[in-house]
Amino acid sequence: MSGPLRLVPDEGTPGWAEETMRLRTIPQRRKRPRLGTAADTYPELSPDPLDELADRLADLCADAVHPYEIAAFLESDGLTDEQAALTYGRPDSFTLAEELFAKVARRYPGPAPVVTDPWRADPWRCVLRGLVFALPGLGYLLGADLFATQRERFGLPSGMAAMAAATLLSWAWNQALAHRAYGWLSRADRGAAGRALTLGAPLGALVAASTGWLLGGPLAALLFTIGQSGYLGAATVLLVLGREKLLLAALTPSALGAGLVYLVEVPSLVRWAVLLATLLGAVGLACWELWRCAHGSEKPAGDGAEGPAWTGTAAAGLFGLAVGTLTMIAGLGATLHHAVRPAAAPLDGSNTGPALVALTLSLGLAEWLLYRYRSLATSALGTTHSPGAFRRRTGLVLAACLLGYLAAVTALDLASTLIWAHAHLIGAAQLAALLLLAAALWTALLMQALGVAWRTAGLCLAAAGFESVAILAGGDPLRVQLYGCGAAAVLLVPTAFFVLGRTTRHR
Amino acid sequence: MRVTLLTEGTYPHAHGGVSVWCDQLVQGMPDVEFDIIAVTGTGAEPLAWELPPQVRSVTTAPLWGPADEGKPPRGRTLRRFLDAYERFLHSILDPVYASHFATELYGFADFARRGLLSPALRSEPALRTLQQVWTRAYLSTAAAQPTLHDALHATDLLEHALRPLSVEPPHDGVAHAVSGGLAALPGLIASQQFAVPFLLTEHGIYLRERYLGYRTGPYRWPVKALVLGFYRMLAEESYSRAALVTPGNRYNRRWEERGGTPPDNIRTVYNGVDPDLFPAAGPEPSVPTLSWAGRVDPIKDLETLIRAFALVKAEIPDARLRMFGGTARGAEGYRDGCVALAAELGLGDSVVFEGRVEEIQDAYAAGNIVMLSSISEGFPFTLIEAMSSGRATVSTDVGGVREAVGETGLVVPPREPEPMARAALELLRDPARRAAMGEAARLRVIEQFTLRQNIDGFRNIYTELLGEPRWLPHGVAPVAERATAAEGAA
Repeated sequence: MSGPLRLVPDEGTPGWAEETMRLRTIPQRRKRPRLGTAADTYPELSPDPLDELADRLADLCADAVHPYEIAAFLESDGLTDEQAALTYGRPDSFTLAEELFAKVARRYPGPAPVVTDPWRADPWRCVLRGLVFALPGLGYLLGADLFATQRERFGLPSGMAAMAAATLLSWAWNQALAHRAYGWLSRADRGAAGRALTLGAPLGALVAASTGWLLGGPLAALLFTIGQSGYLGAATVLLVLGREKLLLAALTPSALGAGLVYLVEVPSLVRWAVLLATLLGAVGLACWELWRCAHGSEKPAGDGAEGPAWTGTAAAGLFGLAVGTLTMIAGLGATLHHAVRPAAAPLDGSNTGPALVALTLSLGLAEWLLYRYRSLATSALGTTHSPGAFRRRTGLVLAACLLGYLAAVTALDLASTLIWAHAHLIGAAQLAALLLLAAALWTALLMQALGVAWRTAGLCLAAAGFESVAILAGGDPLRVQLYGCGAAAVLLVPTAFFVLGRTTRHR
Repeated sequence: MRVTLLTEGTYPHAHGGVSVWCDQLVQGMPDVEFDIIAVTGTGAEPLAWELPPQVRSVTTAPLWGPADEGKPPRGRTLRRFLDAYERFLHSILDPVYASHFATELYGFADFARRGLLSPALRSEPALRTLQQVWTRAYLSTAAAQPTLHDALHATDLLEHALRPLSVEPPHDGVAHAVSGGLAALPGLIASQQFAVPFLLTEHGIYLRERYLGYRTGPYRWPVKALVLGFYRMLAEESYSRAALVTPGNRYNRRWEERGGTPPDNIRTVYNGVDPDLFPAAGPEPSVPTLSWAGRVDPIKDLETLIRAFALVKAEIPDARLRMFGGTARGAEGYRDGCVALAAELGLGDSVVFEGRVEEIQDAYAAGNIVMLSSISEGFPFTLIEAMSSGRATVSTDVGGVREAVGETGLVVPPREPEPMARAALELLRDPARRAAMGEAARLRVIEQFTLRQNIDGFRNIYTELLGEPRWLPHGVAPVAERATAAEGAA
């Protein structure tokens, strides 16, 4: 069919412009004028038929924006100028419409409020995602004795340098890859998203693994690094394509294995087998999903559609690198300090395990809060009438979500400290560092999600750069973190308040 | 001779009434060079027609898809834009400022071709401007209490609607818009900047269709008021700037005159059919039959037709009603309702929905009389096709029907079964009158409503527009003269 186009493809309902009015503008049967009886000494003025029409079309007239709108209805209902004259005594349908428009007051009934919230977060999905973010940590528990801690390389336990470098690279790469794939998905092109992942995930794993290999270490640690690079690639594929359940299934052997390790002594062959099973499961399922993507998409490859911008991809990659560095320094700060200054006395409170566990476990909640923020901000759009009021409202929502997140991280940290064997209760400074890191991370993720790519990446990179340099220069890791994450949080939160307080960010 | 056809959602990317007409027009003038600027959805639509060699280029102006991600203007340019935007919004919302609309629209065209318009419209300052303007107490939108969501929604729609401004407009020849609305945008710019004569053909009334379409859409009042206000101002600007407005029937003139077209600038050019494709249908069926052809849709008001037929059948028991044509998408329920109505009235087998037919001529041949019961029409093809087939017709008095039929059929008020039944009975009982009317109908088509006449009509208009300077601003030479002068100089 041809005809006027909708301004946006998903505007309105199907059959939108073709819907025919069935208003019955013209009375089905015209009443014959009743002959006056003897009682009617003074014949009454006959009622204006327009009154009755105005009653019948009240809703329509109350919602009209211009007399033209009513004239269009009347005509589509079959009212001709002749009938306007015969039935209603008006010269034409335009005059009739003008009188109706003037007669009926605007009531602005408008369309029924839209009940679907695009940012409605499914809490179970967030729990699921939280689990698949947290469970891989168990892999380190299983692989802990693969690192020979007695030998050292670059001042670090042998193999750790390779592992750290590979992890950082994977983190950055996969963040960039996810940006591209999500970009294609948002263009409703699952095939292209699949192609980007098919190409990007193995390449990223290869780059990360070879970097680890080049840095060198004991064979076991290097194998573990290679496996981890593969796993991270596969996990990216499954998470981007929305297959968290498959990833959870792949992680089951590790979860069971870790439980076993916790209870009894297990030979290293079994540990290897468990890790390998997880890796093969994840990679296999990712391949299967990619295969389905390639064969299930309707669009042919390379139909010339423009993909997501490469600058955005670069920003996402750098953001991943920065966040990875900040987290790694939070975890390995003391170890790195020891590597730089072997002679220094061991630091107090260097057991960062519970903090990292808390942070990892909180990721699901962080994501849920991101959704809550967006949902509340979107509903604020529908209730506020001035940009200032909107800024205040979103500012409050931001504060509430952020404080809620920090409270949750604190609670998780305390809980994991209790479970952790031989852990001391966290000190005030350590808690502050953890919370500053959490605040910076959550705010950065929020800004990233709302498309503030470069400012977020820049601030996080600056903080990560400062911390790295300070640590390598031999600074106290705790203080370095307090300053680095503190500065990042202090800059990020007000930036978020201002930038995300803009109405156009939430279109 | 050079003509730029301006289309929206039709030729050459879609099928349908206007599209068929465009194809006939282009095919009918092999000596005219055509360029096409088509407002489309995604811009990736395949061509629905094979283009003849006289079509030199097809440019698409897609409406959908993500906006241009350029940087919004800053500093003085931004301030200039915001001032212009404020005047533009006022011109739409407040009749007092209506005269600003054209100036600002043409100013926006400059922004658009520098790639600045979309980013500027989507910027935060533009949104604040809109929110400030439409909440001012003296504007009608203020009472509807527009929210920021409304402001975003309206901005978004406006930004999409203005995208065709970024197309390079034609610099010479005739700019011929085959519908009002967004298709006209490049033509208006061409007329304003290069004094290219702008010709506007309306088969339906674009503005009326928009008003109808937005009623059921998901729009809050202020959004609807702003977007429809934009379309109304665009229509008025198109009507007043067009060198000539050519409605497909005289009935449509009402909207065009109402919208401010100078009456002298309106010239009706009727659609036409090829009489050889719809030859005289020959002998009538032996059983008295009423036939109807078209798409089954509530707008065709088949309920009235069935009720009228029930009255006919009461007088002539062996009469039949045959309805030809597929069912419109979404109108299946309506069709079932009609079938149920026929059963309820006890019409049984004498009312038949025949469905789609291969040769539409057979539908006209199948009846002694061809019926048209619509409650709204432009200049219906089914009617002139039936007339070309030499059948007498009974049709409702809507749109251009009366102009088409003249004295060669009976015209009755819409939605009223009794007069329709009376007219049908009158003709069924008088074979001589029926035959005379049918003959006259075919003659009327051959004389006034042939495809050839339609095409020649437009050829004459093109020639006239390129040769006459009367619509040009003062001191601007007509295009044809400039071309001759340029050739002379070379």
